[in-house]
Amino acid sequence: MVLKGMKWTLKTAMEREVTRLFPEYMMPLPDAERGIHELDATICIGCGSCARICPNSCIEMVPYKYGNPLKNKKMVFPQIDFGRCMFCGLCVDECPVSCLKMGKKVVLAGWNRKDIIYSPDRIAVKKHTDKEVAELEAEAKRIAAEKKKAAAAAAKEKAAKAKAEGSGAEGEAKKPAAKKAAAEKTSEGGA
Amino acid sequence: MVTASEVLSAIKSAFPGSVKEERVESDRRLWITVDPGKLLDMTKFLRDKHGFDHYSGAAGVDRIADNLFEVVEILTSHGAHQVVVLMKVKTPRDAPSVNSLTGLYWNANWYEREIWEMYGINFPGHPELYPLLLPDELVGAFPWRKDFKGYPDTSTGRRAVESVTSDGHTEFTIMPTDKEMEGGVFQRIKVPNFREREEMELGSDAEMIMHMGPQHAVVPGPFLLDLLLDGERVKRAFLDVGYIHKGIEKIMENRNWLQALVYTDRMCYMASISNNEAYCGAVEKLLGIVPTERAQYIRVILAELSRIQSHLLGTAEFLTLIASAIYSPFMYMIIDREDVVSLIESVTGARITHTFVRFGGVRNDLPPDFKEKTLPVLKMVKEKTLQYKDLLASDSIYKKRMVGVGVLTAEKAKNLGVSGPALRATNVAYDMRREDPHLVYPDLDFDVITRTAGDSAARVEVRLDEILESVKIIEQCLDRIPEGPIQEKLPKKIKPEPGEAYYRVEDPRGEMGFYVVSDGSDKPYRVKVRGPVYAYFQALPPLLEGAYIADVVAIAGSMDACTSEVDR
Amino acid sequence: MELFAFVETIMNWAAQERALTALIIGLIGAAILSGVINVGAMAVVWLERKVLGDVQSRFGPNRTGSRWGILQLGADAIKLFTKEDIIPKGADKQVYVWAPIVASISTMLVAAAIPFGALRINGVDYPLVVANMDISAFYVEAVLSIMVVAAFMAGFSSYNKYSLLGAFRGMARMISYEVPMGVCVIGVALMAHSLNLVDIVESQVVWYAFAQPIGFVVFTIALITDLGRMPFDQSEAEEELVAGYVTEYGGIRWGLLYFQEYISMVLGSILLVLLFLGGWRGPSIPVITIFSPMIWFLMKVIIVLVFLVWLRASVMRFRIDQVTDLGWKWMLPLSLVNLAWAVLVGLYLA
Repeated sequence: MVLKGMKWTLKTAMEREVTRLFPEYMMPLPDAERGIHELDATICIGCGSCARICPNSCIEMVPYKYGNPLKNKKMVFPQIDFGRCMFCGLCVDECPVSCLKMGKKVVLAGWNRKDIIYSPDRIAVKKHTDKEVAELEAEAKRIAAEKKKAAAAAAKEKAAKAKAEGSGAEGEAKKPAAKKAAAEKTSEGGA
Repeated sequence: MVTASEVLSAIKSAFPGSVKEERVESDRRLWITVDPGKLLDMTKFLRDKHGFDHYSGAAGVDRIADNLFEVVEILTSHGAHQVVVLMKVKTPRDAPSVNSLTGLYWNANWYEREIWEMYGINFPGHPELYPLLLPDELVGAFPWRKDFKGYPDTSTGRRAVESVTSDGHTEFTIMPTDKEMEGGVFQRIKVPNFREREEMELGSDAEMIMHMGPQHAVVPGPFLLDLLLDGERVKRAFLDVGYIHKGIEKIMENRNWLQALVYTDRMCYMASISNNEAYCGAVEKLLGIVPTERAQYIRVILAELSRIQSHLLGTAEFLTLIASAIYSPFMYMIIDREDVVSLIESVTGARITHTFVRFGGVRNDLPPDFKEKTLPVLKMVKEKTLQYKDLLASDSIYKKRMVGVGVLTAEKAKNLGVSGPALRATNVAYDMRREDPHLVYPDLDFDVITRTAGDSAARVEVRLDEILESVKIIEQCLDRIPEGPIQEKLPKKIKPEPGEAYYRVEDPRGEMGFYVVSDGSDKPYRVKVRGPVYAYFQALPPLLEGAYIADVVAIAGSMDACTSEVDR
Repeated sequence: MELFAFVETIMNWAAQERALTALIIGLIGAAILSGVINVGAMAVVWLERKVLGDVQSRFGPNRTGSRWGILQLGADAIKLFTKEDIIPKGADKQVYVWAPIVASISTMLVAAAIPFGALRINGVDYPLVVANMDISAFYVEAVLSIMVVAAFMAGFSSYNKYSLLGAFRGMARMISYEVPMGVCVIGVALMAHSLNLVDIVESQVVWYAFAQPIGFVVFTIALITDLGRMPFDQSEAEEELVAGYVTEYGGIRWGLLYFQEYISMVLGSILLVLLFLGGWRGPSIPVITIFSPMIWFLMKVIIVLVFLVWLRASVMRFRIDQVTDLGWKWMLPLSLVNLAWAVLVGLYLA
């Protein structure tokens, strides 16, 4: 009558328990697991696609120091509010340089709501050291200065060209001056 | 085989001049816009002469740019043919009114109630136009209109006025606006409170109303079930839903197409792959793309795995209802389900709300060792399911509790509008995988499980047998899956052409359909979800009359409901 | 020597004041008894939780008090004592407060007359019993039904629809199964020629489980129903009735009612062992002869308890009308058949 059920339970009583003794033993998670985000701050370009696609508006782009100023002009990186995040993974799919990934850490508890807003520092797994950041900033400054000079030179040349073509009479008077300026420039360029 | 164009020509010959617009999308889909005055006659004609005996649902669309409301009625058939007719009716926005179809189809009741409370479209002829999902004081606020300004209305402060009638009942009334009063067509909305409606039914002092809910252990999710009891027998049951109404359909209108995908998971979280799939299928129809073949196979594999775990969970939860949570086979089913959910997790990355199906493909590919890990799990599921079936068939206490309890005949089930395992238990072979073939289901070999008894035991048996069929399907897919890309190339910004699409899938609980309207922008214009559990809940009060209290939980549990999908 | 003189004076005084001595000994015995029973019930609750866990492939309590979770019940009791005492507004206050107390009274009255084993000194078994009455089987049977009154008091006074339905169901269940139980006890007493529980045990050369098999089965089922265990726990069906007649009880009041259920489970199992399974009879164990009847007795009681817990985890619940059907249409006729059998066999043997 009910004996089949009773036989089955008796058999199970002899077998091992299946309870996982969390938190001492954590279950093995697959590679595709969508856990807490992992940011590679050396690649992030600060485009904000992740912030725009998030359906719950959890991601905010905030300033952060340990990134690459050559790639990330404004030096803004994502800050994720895990109180609102639903781990849908759309931010990971939208990132154009694949710097945001989702890892296997799933334990996420804090004492109050501020504790679970993860700044870029907490979700970054790769970031530059102070020295590297200083070097990159110097590099960026140098490139910026070069660009500025090149832009100024091009502007001056354009102005000179325009003047030379614009008025022939004045140009003749100014020709030696223009030639001198051109000579100066070439000497500068050479030097 | 009857096709959509044949139906169209039949309608046009019977009602010349009434069809305003028409579109034959395929052999199985017909879109027509009809004259509002001829709606009842045309529906009667379709039902009686052409076998459209299944009223699938209705959607309201607010075309504020044209100053119109549209109501789309969806009519299908329970096996006579496979044509779906979507009949649209347009009414002016100032005094909207569409004839009610409750005289022809019993289950049109709730769909029209919802459209009334959300849009304000009046349905003359409807027996009980009371609020369904919204609380009593939001009556008349009509939240899903495009110009809804919040409640209370931030510009006019308009809200419902509470008053007490002469016999002590509370009523909520919305004062009509001046324009409506000038128009003179608007009906004053008077709504007695839910409790008062119940107490009007009390016959004598020996009867009492017992509340099961909203917090209860019957089904996952809150809904209010009040039973008018005479001793231990139920005389009438009252049902109220809307306790977890999140307004998903309206939220989806404010997110772009990809963001709206996330909300589809959260409707029926037990089987979220089918929800994702229905939405993506509808949007793919609008975009005019077909997913890659490997992606189609992956979608089918995951849908069937999801079906297995949903049926295991549904049956396990139902067993706790007749046997308390200490019953061991409930635990064993949950333990088996763990393996299946871990498989799904290894592909999608999440255990319940997957957000996995994307437009034109899927998000991740199968991990390299998927087949080796899946085949032993399928073998175990098959063995254990046969053991469960054996156990339930031989347990005499189970047979005493379940056989002959909550019997649905085929006619009654069809009239009530149920679908899925509850309908298949009454010997009607109605399965979306055969009725509306999508993805690679036409190439696969599986049976549609039916039983003849129609009682609770039959419904549980149908579910357990469907697990075995799903195992068969997954094994075939794993053999046939080709290599290739998992995602079609899509444009950077998803902006479908203006249009509409209706896509149906077989959710573990029945027929699920998504009606999607696009107006060419990057946000959906209207998304309507036709869920299977909505019909179950509508059918529950007539089914519970005359049952014992202990049978109420047995019947409600054997329907395997998921309240989140009803309330959306 | 002063100690001896002191004791001697006490004994002299006791020999004179007989009634007072008896009263004092009785009170001390009652205190020890209630202590023993409560500790026993705590052990039974622990046993139930562990066995349920085993059967369902999980651990039971395994954190409080070492890996075996021994102190779990102590922790639960502390929690219950520290809860707020809430009495529903429309409840009948006196009846509400007295219901758990009446339940405790019922179990203590039963415990006073049941032998808890025996000690074998020089080949003679001395039973451990507080009040060795001539009609103890009948008395125990009668007093067990006070539990019905307690359940009804709890359900009716709570001003709650669920409690009311739980009380109705509980009453229907208990009343319809008291009758078969009583008739089976009479059947056993007929064969033993006495209603004294000690005599019934000592007359079981052949266990009555084999001599009256129908009676054994009927008594077991009736006992399970009377205790309110699965598959007969309709009055506490969580899914339908929230918690049955104990819905409105909280804190230590609920703890008391819950505990009484387990105490009556222990006492019911002991009754079953005494009446049908030979009590403490069994071959002598060599070294610890003095305790050997006790060990047999405890072994049998524990086996019956484990059987009850195992049954709970493996079967589904009946509907209340099916329970009363079973009681009146099957159990009662079968118990009368058993009575006839007992009379015939008794006549044949005598």
